[in-house]
Amino acid sequence: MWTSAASPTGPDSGELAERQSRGAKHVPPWFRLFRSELRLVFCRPRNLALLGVLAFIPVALGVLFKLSLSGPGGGGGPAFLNQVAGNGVFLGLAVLVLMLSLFLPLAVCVVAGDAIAGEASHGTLRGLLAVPAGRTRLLAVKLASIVLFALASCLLVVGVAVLMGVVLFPVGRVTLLSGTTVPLSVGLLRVLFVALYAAAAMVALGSIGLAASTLTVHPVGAIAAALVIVLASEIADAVPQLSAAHPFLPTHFWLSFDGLFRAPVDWSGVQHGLLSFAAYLLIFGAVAWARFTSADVAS
Amino acid sequence: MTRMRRLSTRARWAVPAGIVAAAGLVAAASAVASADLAPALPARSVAQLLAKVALAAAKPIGPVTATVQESSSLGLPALPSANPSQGTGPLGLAQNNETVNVWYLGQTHIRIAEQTQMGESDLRLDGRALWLWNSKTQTATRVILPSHFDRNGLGPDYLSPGHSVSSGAAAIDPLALAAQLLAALGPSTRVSLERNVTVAGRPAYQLSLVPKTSRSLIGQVLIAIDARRFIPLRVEIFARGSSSPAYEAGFTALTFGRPSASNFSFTPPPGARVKTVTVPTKPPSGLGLGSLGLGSLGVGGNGLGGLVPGGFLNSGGFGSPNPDSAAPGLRAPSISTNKPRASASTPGNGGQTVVVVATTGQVVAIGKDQPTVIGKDQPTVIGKSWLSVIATPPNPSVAAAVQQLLTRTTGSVTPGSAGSAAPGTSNPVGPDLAVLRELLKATTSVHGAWGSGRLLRTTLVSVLITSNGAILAGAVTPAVLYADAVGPAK
Repeated sequence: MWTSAASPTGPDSGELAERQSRGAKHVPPWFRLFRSELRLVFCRPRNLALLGVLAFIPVALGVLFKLSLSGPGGGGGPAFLNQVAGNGVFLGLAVLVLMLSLFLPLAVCVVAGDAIAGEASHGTLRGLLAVPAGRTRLLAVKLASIVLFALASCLLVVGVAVLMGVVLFPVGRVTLLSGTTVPLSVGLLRVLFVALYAAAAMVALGSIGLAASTLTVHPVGAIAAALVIVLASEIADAVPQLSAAHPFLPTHFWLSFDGLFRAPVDWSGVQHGLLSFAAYLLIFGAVAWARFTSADVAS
Repeated sequence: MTRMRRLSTRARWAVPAGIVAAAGLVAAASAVASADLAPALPARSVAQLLAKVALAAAKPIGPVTATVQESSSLGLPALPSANPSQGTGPLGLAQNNETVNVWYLGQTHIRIAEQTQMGESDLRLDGRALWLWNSKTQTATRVILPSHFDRNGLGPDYLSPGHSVSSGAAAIDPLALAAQLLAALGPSTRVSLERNVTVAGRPAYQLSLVPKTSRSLIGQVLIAIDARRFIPLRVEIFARGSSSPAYEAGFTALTFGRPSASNFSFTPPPGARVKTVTVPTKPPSGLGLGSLGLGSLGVGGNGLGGLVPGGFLNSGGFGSPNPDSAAPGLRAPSISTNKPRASASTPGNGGQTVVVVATTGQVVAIGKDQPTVIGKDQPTVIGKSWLSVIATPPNPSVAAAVQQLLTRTTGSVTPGSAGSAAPGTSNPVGPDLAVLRELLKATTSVHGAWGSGRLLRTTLVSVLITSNGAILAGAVTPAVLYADAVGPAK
């Protein structure tokens, strides 16, 4: 499968031809690569379908909650759900908490796991390597597109959910976990921070998926590997006997944004989380780099 | 490309390996930095240090913002709990971990918050306005205080045990705990200085208290004393022969200075359920407000309510030889295992607090709302110092209730048998009963010249329930309890 060095005259696909023909003279090749990569990620029907599902779930959940909630919640259901009926802004948080357990990681794993392995399995990787940008830059471009996809999906989920919340429920001053209230604008800003935090978590996961993607030519394998890591980590996180290992699990800090909804704001959880995400991004980014720049590409 | 090619494959893989190693090093280094570094401090004798501590204790601590952490692994069996995050240790033994944040401006301005994932319980005292808040249930509870709380204050006295509404919180207050321990210093204790430590980022001396008797279950008590202000920062209690503390309470963060006034004032947020509760002028005898006021209302039914050994120590288990130093009836519960704590995964458990008070003379189960008392008698303290044992006189209703809990696997204690002797007794219900039964199941049947009964042994505390319904508890070996059971418990 893997043979000796990449040849500049690999089998062209139509996509590659398009990528190269569109390049203007002054635009550096890596930027052209980035542009075409973005088109690939955000215009690909499968990824659009993923984003569509991500946008649909908050709508469905919003309607569901609207039908099932009457009066202040009894504290049942997922976090923040008990506040949704009183303030639609919380729909954004409740939906995000729900979707961080499966749908968001799934979407990110699909895109990240497909990043390199997908090209390899389609036979387009050799062509991509022909772009005079170097493998490191190609990998960086792939990672950048994963970052943008993670950001887009988290903002999409939270944005649609908040919109649904505004449509379906009353809106007003936002009650924090501490029982004090902040103006709606401050509350929305904090919700935005939560969405960005979740995006950071998804970027860290994306780097794991990217590393997996450089290890195989079967995208399904890479996607499954990344998802298995998510599930294994979530299970391990729920086992109290492993509490010493919990802070090192990739999913442990995914929901540690609750400090943003306290008064005064408690940054410690967010700080720990961002540190953990950065460590995972560095480690798996380096793994992906070491593998991708040293492997021989045949297809 | 060619430049890159010069790096061998092995060299490339060294990069992620190096990053992993570096991340590991950083994690380890920060763990070490936050743990007990031994700072160099001017040498002091034990006597000098104790004098400084006494001096510091006489002054109010002043406005602080602090995080207090308490953890215990007492070797109790894992109790049924609605909360999976409660956590059991490797041996299926219950391990408690409580963290509360405290904003303290003075005796009349206090905020105590217990943070859980996606939730928070708060106590806010602003002058005479006392509000409890539970984010899980979105409930704000206004507590109307009896007038005599004016005089006592809720106090610094939050910082001294056995007092007032916050007696439950005092149970995990390292200041109060250390005060109790230091007050008990006497000829029965060997006091020495251990190596200096860093607690809550502050350099500290470390006092070691070792009981001279071998009949105490306590092997050593370590108290970290702040090197600048001479206030206790942490108390660690080691069971005999154990190298890790069975119980520990201390500050993990401590900042001196006025906390923002916004911490204390409270207005129920729109949409919240608002309740009003009046604290009776004379609280039910023997029932700590720590458990009644806070626990049953669900404000950190655990964090702010009675806590296992802290409560025990505060109620004079061995720390205070004088049980009358605080008003009876306002004591923290003694042996309490309260749980279902609020957590993201167990919604709606605010108020489901279980407190089993054995040594203040009651077996009390606090359910959803009202406390259930099975038998009440004034407890007495037998022995002194490290061998103090709290005992209640024989009580047939306690014996009957114990018998029933042990034999029946389903249903609840019928009021007829358990309650006839003790007025005001009603049924313990639901999960509370399960907890009681689980605790009783952990007891072993014991008998001897003193009689027979059931013995609960934990790493730090022994509890003996005799067949005639007397309860004895202390941080002592069972032999001490047997000896005491012969005498005053008659």
